[in-house]
Amino acid sequence: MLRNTPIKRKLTVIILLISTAVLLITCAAFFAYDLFTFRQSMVAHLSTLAEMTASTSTAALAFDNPKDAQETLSALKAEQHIVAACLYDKDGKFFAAYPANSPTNNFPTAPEPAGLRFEGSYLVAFQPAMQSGGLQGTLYLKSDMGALYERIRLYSLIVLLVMLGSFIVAYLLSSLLQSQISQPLLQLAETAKAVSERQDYSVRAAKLGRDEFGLLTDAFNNMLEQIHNRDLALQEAQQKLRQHADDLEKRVAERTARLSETIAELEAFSYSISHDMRAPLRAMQGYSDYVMENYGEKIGPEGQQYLQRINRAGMRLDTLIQDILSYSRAARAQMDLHPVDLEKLLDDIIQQYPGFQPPQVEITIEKPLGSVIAHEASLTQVISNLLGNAIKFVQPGQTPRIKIRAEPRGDDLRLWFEDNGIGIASKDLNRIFAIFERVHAERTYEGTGIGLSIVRKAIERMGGQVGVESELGKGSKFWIQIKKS
Amino acid sequence: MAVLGNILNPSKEASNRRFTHRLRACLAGFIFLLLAINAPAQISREYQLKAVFLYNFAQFTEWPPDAFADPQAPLVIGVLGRDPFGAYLDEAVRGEKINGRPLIVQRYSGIQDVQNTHILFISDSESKHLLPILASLQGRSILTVSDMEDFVPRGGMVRFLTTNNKIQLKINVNAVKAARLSISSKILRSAEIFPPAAK
Repeated sequence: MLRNTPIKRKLTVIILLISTAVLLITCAAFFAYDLFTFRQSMVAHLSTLAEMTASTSTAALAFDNPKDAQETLSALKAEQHIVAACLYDKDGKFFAAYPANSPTNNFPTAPEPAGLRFEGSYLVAFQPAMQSGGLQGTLYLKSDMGALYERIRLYSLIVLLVMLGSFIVAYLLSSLLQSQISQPLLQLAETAKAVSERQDYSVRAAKLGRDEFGLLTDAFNNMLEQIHNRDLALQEAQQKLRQHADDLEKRVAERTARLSETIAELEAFSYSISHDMRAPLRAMQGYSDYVMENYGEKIGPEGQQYLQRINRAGMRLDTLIQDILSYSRAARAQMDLHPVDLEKLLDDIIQQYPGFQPPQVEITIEKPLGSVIAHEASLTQVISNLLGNAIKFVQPGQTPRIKIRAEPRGDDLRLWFEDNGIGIASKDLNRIFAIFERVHAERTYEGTGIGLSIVRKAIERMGGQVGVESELGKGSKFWIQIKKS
Repeated sequence: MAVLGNILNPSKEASNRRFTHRLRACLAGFIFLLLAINAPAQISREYQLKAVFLYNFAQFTEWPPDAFADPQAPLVIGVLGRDPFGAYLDEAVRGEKINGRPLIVQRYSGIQDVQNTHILFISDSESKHLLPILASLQGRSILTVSDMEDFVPRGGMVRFLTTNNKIQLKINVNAVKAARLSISSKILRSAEIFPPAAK
């Protein structure tokens, strides 16, 4: 009920409630006690009145003087709470009434045993009228409880006034005194609010005394101090860190820029070198062919053999240069990615190169393969290289067999090329994709050592991956993985 | 409801008692004719009441201690002369005790018989000797009561006075005081006091 009221109000309300409760209980106790004693005194009073009146009435009863009795009874007028009274003679017959001339059926028909008792809201008394030990008659008195009710009314009024007065006093006192408790709390709360709202840890709560609130304030201020210090240290550290990170980033960016510059220079260099090298090579090949045709007979068989050697070396060099150019293209060319239908692409590749057709090779395609997001020209190069490798590296005399299948992997598609070739030793698996790396001697299997490098470079530039699973003598399973379309 | 002292034939004056007697007889005869047996009962009713009153005086009067031989000594109610009460007085006091004292009724034919008496009713029959009787009782603590008209002015203490069918008391306070008696003020309040208070 009070949970959400401010502490000031809470304290006041609590104090008021307690004081009111205490006062109520006290008043009720006094009230009850007084009413009880007042009732007792009412009884005592009526008893005395009855004795006096009865005693005064004895002569009237004894000498049969109802008029005198009447007069005696009429003195009861002074007692405003006596509503009725009557006398019976010693034979129990009705003798006199008060107020005079009241009908006799207002009274009990015969006297009852002496004593007082409460009858409804009346107090009733029967008192024997005795003279010198002899019974002369009986007095009946009936008193209303007006005095009691008056008393209750008066007391209620007093209680009400006292309650009102003490309520006001309690309210004033509690309003004055509650600040002893609420003030330090409110100040703490204010400080805490300021701290949390403005993140200002330099604020301090004022200490108002050396009580528990004082201790609390001290502890709070201590905490603030610590937080303040840590906050400062943290900010400093953060700033340093940020500076450091900025430096690092700058340095990385610088180096990266330098590196890519170098790489670009290198690639441009190798491209132009390769490109420029082809012209003299053509010239050499062309002239050696010319010599062979026009002067072949003059130089004799030995000369012809040497010329052939020159020619073959030139062709090898040309292949090498072409591969390097392919690699450079794969590394430098703009890679615009589009959806590519793999089945169609494979069909085209196989159609274009007679070397990929039976009887040179058996290629099995597990359809459907689906399509990928790729640079078509580069992907053609990649697949050609992989197929070329599979055909090249087989045991002499064996017909190469290649199985091509697709495997979905999340958003990607992995394309497998499984051959029945000579396989790769596990120690060589790591280096076959590096440029100029060759596993076999040049004499056994021709090659420049660039093909797989082109594969990897091209696939990586398309955002994909390449890999191989193989065992020496048991064929190889190459795979490329790029995004599905 | 108490039946008041209704007396159909009140004897007002002691001096013309003869006339009264005659009148009473006439009335009695008349009433006898009307009510057959009622009349004698009505007449004796007056004395029945007076007998009770005599007994009541014992309750409202205080005697000096030397009036009794000892604390248990009986209180004596005496009737001097012709007894008008018959058995009523004996009935009224039978078995009663006042402050522990039993009550005794004694009847005297002459004043010389009155010895240790506390209340003395002097009958109308003694009216001729009233003065000597009162004189001989002088100084003794005896409450004297009578029906006689001039009883109080002559020095008697209490007289029964019948007005409007009701018995009233006329009391000579000086005589009561002289006898060292004390009558309760409760009686005095409703009684006629002699001598009358000066206005």
